[in-house]
Amino acid sequence: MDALKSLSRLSVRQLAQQALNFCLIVSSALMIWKGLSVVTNSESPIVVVLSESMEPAFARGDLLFLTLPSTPVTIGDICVFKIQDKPIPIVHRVLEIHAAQNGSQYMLTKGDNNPTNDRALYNPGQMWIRQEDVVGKVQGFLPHVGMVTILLNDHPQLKVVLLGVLALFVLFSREE
Amino acid sequence: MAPRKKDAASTAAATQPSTTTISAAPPTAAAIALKDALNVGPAVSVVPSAFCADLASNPIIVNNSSDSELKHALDDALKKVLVQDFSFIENHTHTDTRLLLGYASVLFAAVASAYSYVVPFPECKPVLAACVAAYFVLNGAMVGYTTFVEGNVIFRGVRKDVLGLDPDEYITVRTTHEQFSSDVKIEFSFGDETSKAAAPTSAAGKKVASAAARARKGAGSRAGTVTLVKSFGAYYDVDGRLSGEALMRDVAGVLHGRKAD
Repeated sequence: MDALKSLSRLSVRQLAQQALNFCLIVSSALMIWKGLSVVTNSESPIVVVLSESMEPAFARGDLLFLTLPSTPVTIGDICVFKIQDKPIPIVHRVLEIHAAQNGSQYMLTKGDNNPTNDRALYNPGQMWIRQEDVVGKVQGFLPHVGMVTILLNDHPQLKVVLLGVLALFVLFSREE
Repeated sequence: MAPRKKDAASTAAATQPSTTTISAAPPTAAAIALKDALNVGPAVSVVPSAFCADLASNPIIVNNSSDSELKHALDDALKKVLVQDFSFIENHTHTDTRLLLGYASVLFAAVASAYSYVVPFPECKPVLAACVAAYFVLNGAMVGYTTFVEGNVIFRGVRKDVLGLDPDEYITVRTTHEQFSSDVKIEFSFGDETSKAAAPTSAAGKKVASAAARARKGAGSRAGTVTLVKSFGAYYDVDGRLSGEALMRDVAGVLHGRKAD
């Protein structure tokens, strides 16, 4: 194969440079993601909607942009929150907020498209969501773009294929 | 002046130095042409070229349509010729610095991801922020170094005199290629210990020796710049095969021509 022969002609330093080019692409993408999560103060600043519980506002496959501001949540905000011991976070609207004497908040949520509030989704005996469970507030969204992520998650082999194609492309081509 | 009558034998044996099909000529004819071009006197024999021997066993064949491949293969061949045939020792400082900065930034990225995987989110923020900042700083430093310090230098080397009489000879080779052009500009900058191959002037055109650079104070008479503007077709044939003899002859012309001044 021409590409393999051209690689075998390279010295150790040039091979190191090719490997570095690939590593830089991967690590740049990673650092932009981590940098974004530091700036927005949220663990996962971009998420994909998986269910139709927020229709007509958000459809399955929409991309959501989150931040976690230091100001408290207000009624009507769409929040992403986690239930303890359940791995997948939920994106629903805040319905009621009650504040205790010491300032901590208790919230009740409901999906726009759901018939009842989320108490059925909480843990048994849990009636409210607290400030600590909130991962972020939705600030904006992009329709349909997240379908790619859903596809990659349903077929994990595609991730390997994608990474492999990128690696082949970068390792065998020399920069201008 | 009437042209001399050439008989069939000498026509077949003598090959023009500027032809690109020199790889197809028989070895003896190539050696004769090489000797004529190098213009060495009868007392000096032609030294067998290690680079050409290397190319004969591992020929360089690239895609003729890709300017990037042509330029990269030519750069690599230039470096090999200078090291194998003309006894230069390569100075790897630029490459090593670039690799060091690059791998250091990748290391910070790896540390950042590992740390944020182990430590949950709000607690890992300070270290994560520091690592991300360090990554972009080091990456920026690497890009800055490549753009401003290294520039289009492809080779820096030094040659020690075999007899130990002359001072060390420093050389810097820069190649430039304009997009969509079939020409490549190769600049050889020479210097000695004090000047260490000074930066070239903006000379262009075939084989221009820069008198101004030579007159530069403190650089001594050995400093200077020679620029070669050649088409890729001078070195690659129609199949994309690199002609070692053509390249070696041009480089020899530059180096020996300089010595004659």
